[in-house]
Amino acid sequence: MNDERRGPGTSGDALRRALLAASPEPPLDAVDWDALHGRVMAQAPKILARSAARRAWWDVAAAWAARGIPVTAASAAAAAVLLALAGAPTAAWLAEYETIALLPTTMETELAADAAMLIGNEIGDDELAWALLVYEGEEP
Amino acid sequence: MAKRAPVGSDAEAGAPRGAPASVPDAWLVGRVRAGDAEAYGELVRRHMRRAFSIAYRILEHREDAEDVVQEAFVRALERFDTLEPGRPFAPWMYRIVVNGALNYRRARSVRRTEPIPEDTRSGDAAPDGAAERAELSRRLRDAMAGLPERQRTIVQLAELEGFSSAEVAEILGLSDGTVRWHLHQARRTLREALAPLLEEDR
Repeated sequence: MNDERRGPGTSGDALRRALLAASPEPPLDAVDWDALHGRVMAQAPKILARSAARRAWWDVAAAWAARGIPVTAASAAAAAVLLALAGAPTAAWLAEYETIALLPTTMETELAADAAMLIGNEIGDDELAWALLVYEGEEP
Repeated sequence: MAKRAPVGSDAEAGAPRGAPASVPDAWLVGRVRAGDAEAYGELVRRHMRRAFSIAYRILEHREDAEDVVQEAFVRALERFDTLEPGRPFAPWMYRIVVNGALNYRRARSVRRTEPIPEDTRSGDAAPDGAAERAELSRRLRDAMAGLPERQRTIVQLAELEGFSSAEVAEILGLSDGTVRWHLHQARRTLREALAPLLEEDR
């Protein structure tokens, strides 16, 4: 596979031995393991409490999301149904709509007829001014 | 070199007390996720010696290595939710240790100017004679110091700590092939630096 697998006496093995000989061995016996362990664990409760608080916040958010998403979806569906039902045109509404819809057309037709009459009669400036005043509701 | 337990094993040497070795790390990890400080204490007990050994290989200074290990275990607990479910604890933990040690060494190289103390260990495989040993150590240290940081770390983990290339890859977050390539390059560089002395050693 690689040099690790070479047999004793090869240059790979000699290199490893040389490296080990040149490198100081970790002084495992010189370390106070209980003290090191104690220093780490002195901070553990605070860290775990913070993590628990963070988890609690997420749990609440997740619980609300778990409830909120179906409720929101159901509300949206209900609103859509109500809007669809409430928005369905009734016969009376349709009749009123048609009346209103026809109004502009009627007015345009009447105005066009008046204009044609005025142009056709070759009216003078005074008459035109009077007609405009009448049209704008400021008849003298 | 002492035979090491595999990187992901639960039976690290030197767990003086606490949960029996038959209790797997994964179970303790689950307990820690539930907020059990005692379970984390047991994980610390199981892995602190190996963590110290790794940090010491990189830093070659006991107090610095202890500081790094302490900080690494605290940081690991703070970031425990980043340990993906189902992933082994040890390589994840050792990666934090390695990164911490490398950062510490970079900071220290700015602070300190005195050289790293000379090796005091007398290797039985070294060439006979103190002068030859000293020369070998000096050349090897120079060659190691000249390696790119990644290659040097890989050599320290593989050759000195006895991790397999796959374990080194897991610790450093690299592919196995990348680790092997770096290891090959580093060995070649070191061999070239030591060629005359190694020839005498054969």
